[in-house]
Amino acid sequence: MVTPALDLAVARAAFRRFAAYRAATFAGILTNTFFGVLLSSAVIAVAGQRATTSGYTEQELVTQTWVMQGMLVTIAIWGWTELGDRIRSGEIAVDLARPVDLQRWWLCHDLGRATYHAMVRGTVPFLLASFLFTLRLPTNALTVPLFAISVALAVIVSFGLRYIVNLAAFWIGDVRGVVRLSMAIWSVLSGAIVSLAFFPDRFQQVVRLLPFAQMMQSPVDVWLERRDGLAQLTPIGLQVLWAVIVLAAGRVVQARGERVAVVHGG
Amino acid sequence: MDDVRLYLRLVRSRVRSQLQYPWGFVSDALGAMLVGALDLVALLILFSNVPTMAGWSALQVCVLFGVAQTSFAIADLVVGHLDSLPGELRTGTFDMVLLQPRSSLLLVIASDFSLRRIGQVILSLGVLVVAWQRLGLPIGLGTVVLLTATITAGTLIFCAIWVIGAASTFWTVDTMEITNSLTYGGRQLTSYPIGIYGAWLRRFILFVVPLGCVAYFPVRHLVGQEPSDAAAVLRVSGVPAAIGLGIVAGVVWRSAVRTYRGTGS
Repeated sequence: MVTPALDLAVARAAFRRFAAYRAATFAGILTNTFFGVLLSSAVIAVAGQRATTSGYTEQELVTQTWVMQGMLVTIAIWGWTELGDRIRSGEIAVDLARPVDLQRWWLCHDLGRATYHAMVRGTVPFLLASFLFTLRLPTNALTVPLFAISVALAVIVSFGLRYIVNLAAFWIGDVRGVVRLSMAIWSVLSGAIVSLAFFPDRFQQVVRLLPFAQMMQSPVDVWLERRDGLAQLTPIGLQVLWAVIVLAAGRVVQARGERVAVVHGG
Repeated sequence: MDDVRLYLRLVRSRVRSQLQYPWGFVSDALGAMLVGALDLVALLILFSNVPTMAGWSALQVCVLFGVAQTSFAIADLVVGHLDSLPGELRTGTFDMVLLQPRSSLLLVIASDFSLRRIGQVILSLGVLVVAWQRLGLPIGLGTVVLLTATITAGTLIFCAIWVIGAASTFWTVDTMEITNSLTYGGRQLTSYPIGIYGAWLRRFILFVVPLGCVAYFPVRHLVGQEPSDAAAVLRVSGVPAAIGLGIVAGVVWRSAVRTYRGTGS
């Protein structure tokens, strides 16, 4: 029953689901652009005072601000409770009865959604910003496909983490608070609020290895070509490692959750 | 007065219902506080790299941050629920609001009062108090009056922007995010000295959307960042801006509600 064709159909449906809201997309682009300007101003106010910050130039840090604005919605860091809501309402029983793997189904759905957001919100604010600021573009053509892979992996890591948090609904019912709490922590540790380059050195070294940095800082570093040649693959390898870990952990948690699942009503 | 009583009664009922699940409420409030603390974390991380920003020290910016964020947090507590208005317009449940013989705005605002948002008010006031003490600034009647007026006016400005933005979705439905860039974006914007922004953005927040009047002018006076040739009247520019914007918000809301057509089901 589970086939690549089905995966693709799920992803396509998710893509269309989000593409349906044109005005929302337009509003979102404006929002990302406005926030990008505000954050860039703060970054310039700091980075403009010194030659480099943890080895990043002012131009690189401004560029990071805009890559981040494009990725925020793509990796859906600001909260996703759809699965948790289904668990709370008991609809999860129907989902689990389907002859498809729950995690795989939602992963495909999320990748379809992310594809749409990456295409629209990932590109337009960056283009608009290039009129206002001098942004750094990759010098090596290979960086672009590498960046695309890195963003896809960022979505998978982010999905894996969000999936686990949503599964908490099996035990606590309402996940909104937990989701908000985790989002707050992730958005700092991923570098989505301020670039990890601004963090104290020691702290930075540890945080860069955690799964959260794989959602944001790693793809940004690929775009900025922080490493040369084969070393470019280091952040990608780290992303793959964490993607596997969080997806596997999600399956373990789900198996335990199914045992305590409560379906309200008749 | 009747409306106020009704509002308080509705709010009390919402608060009681939210305390039904104590664990849910605690994690919710903690989450809201942490989300509110994100901006502060960002500010402190940025300042860990440099001693000043646009000539302001970290503590001086924290005072500005505290005032601006307190205004925002109170506005969020009171009218933040307007974020979900587009959903009510799309599904047509706004019909129910119009059936009541009361102010539609009041009913929408009171329909979901999220007590958890109080966490952010406390946090912002805390930042203000701590930064104020560590700067060793004097506190007198004049200062208290100016701070109170500033926070009140700032709250009104944020509320008015929220209402105008929400009202605009009567025409556009899906554009609440633009409003968010002025409300949530406004929180970020007003928390930093406006010297860090480009000239066109400064003009925009002073003359188009008066976010520049929320906290900057009075706070720069209070922390000793005011240039000697600055007009003293600027310190209270938030008050007329709040009144003006409040009137505009009332007019826009009323004409927006008049265009509501329901969903026909």
